[in-house]
Amino acid sequence: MEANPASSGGHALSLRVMRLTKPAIVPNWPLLADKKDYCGEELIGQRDKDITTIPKIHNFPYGEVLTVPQNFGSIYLGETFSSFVNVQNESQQTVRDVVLKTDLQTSSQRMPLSNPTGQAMVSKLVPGENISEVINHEVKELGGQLLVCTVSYINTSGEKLMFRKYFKFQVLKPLDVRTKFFTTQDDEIFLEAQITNTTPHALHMQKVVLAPSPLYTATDLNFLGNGESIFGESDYINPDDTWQYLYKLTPKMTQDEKSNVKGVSSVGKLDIMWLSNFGEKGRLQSSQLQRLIQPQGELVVTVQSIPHFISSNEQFQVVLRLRNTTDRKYNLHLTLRQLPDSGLVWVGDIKKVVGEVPPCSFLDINLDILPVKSGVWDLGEIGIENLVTSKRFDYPSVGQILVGLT
Amino acid sequence: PSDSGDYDTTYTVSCQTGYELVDDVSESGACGTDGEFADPAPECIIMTCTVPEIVYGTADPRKQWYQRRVRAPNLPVAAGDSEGLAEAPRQSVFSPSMQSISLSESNLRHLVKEGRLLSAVNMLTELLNTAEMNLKTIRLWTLRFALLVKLKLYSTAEVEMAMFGNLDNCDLFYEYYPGEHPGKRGSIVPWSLRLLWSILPLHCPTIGGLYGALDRMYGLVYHLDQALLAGLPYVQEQRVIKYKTSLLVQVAGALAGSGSIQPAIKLLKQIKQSQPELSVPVSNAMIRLYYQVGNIYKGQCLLAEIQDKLTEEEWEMNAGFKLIALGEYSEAYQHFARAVNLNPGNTVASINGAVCLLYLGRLGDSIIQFEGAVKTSLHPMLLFNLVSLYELKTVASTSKKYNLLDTITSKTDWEAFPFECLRL
Repeated sequence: MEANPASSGGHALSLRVMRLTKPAIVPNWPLLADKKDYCGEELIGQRDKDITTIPKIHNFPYGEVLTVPQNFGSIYLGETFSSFVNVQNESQQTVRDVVLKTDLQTSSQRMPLSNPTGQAMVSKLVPGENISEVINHEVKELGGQLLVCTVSYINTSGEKLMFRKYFKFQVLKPLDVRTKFFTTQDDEIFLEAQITNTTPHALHMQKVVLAPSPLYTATDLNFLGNGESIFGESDYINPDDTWQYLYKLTPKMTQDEKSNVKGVSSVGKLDIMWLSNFGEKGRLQSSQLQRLIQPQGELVVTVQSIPHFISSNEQFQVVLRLRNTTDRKYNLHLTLRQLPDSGLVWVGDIKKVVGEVPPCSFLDINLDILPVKSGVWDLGEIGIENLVTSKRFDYPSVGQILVGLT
Repeated sequence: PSDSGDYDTTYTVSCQTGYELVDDVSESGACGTDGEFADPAPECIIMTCTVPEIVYGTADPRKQWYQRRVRAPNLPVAAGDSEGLAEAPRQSVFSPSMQSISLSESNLRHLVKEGRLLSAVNMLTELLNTAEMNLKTIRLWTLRFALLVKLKLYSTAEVEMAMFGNLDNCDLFYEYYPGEHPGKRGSIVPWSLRLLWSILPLHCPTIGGLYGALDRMYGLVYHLDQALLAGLPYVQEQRVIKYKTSLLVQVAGALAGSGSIQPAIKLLKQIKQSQPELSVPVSNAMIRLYYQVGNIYKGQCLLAEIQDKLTEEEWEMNAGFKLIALGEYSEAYQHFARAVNLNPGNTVASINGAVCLLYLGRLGDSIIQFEGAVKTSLHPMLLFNLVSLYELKTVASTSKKYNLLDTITSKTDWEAFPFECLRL
């Protein structure tokens, strides 16, 4: 990133900028030499004179010599933009009251990066002398941005002169994050976060943490029991690869509160920290992740107990929990319906009064079933009528069971 | 040749540098009376390096040439030079000092020793031009390929290596030369030539790139493993193990250079396990690769592991890298400074310390330290760094670059120097 390389446009001072990405080790294939070869000793001499050659593992091209950044490179959201700004007196005259001011202009705002009040940095600058600054700024916006460097000074004639240089750069997106929610029947909630590396270099994920909202506690499922990462030996996400992170969420509400919650619930934020080339840092936080909660319904029927496996002609019992999620008393009447061609047959009364279920409470009922055919079968249709309101609820399938051979 | 040829009292010289990568750098400077350059006035020497015509293969018909601006007054002017630029006649042997060097092996050795690698290549052209393949010329070929690869003359190397096929042509076996070593069997191909043959695709995408190189290298690994399985006397077994190690190091280098850092690290780990005497340099290499992908934690763990085996100087170098990775440039500088104290000849520590100074905002000090390093080594990488800093400091960096050019051309081994690093 350079200013106009021609003379400083008539000004006594010049401004040059170098973006300070981390230093790099540039590969350098050394001269292949072996003392048994023709001119071997001479080749070895030449090879060893090369400062980039590594002792003992001579044909490894990555030595220890660092190089300063050669070009602007790319910059990604969450990284720190670091630059060296140099102002040099190129003229033969001493100038006074030199001011260097840097600002960053994004699409939404203009913010000072250094010297916001525009103070003079030195009272005088003799020919050949320079002032410089290293500016750092954590990039928080995507898209095109402009580094604006303003230099003002007073020349020997007493004139106050000023010039400005603009450096344009583009902030790109380093990661693509997609989230998915999974809810099991036992009301356990899992969050899967898929993180894709959209940069052209490797990214070492230092930390990917779910910071839960006050409504939940989060369990990080990305480590094995012994503390090792589930990603094993893999150190980094390759460009265009995706890693999946899994978290378990436990709502901090009681069952009663749960049943009243509807709509959208804030789960928390993903806090992602990564390191790339030689420790170049990056950090991003996702926005609040939202989860849509399906309303539970007034009367929730779940299977509390069912045998894992049953053989044909072996009668078994199923315990159903009827939960009243409202704040009114229910008086329930149960109707059991046989499914056509089913391998399961209800035993006992198929129409009966269940009884009262107080508000925000539940009642367990036992039902007997006789399996007559092997296979996987739905338990059967259950119809429940609230005698208080005459409202009917139908539950086509509350569960299934595997019936084996006799 | 270049198309500028304006002539005044201030003449315009247009020089193009480069071999494979031809970077057009046009340069105009005032020479002569305004005192900007010391007497005598600079002259542009045209160096024409023709791709040799080899009996054994087809040579690349493109002519490669470059011109440079040199200030050595005692160099005779090439024909047709002083009135603008003209092409020097094609010469198959060109010696930069313009003395005619006679074709002989002792002179060849001398050229290599002096670092005049391009002249050595040209002399090899002559030596190999009319020679047929035999036990001696295969060794000359090995030298030639080593030099071509070092000089980055990859297309020439590719064309010439092609005629060696898969290194199993019948004239590459002892049995083909019954007079020389009666009864001896096996390949006459030196191990270095095999290494060069196997790495060449990495530098020449047309013959396979990384995967072409990996194919060849793992093919060699297979043969070495077969030899080890078959059982060998101790001395030969040790030699085969040494070959295998050098080969695997090359594979790791190829992988790392192509962005496959994880496999490179894994391979280095294997090498370390099977060759414990290499554990320090290999671990150092692994640590640097860990930093490269941002896994500072593992780099630190590995450093802690090998700490006891390091000399103090090595430890300071490692600490310097670690602190750069952590962004602590001030402390990193201290470590590199201590490394230089322990070993004043450690140019690399001096360079790395100078890099830290830049990040600390100390541009002037950084330049001074780089200029100090230049006194001990004129490595292009070092000069590249220094030129970048000159350009950062001032718009008028050209005279500083010419100073460097002077320093380079005052040594004997400048003929193969990649002058494009000076960005003149």
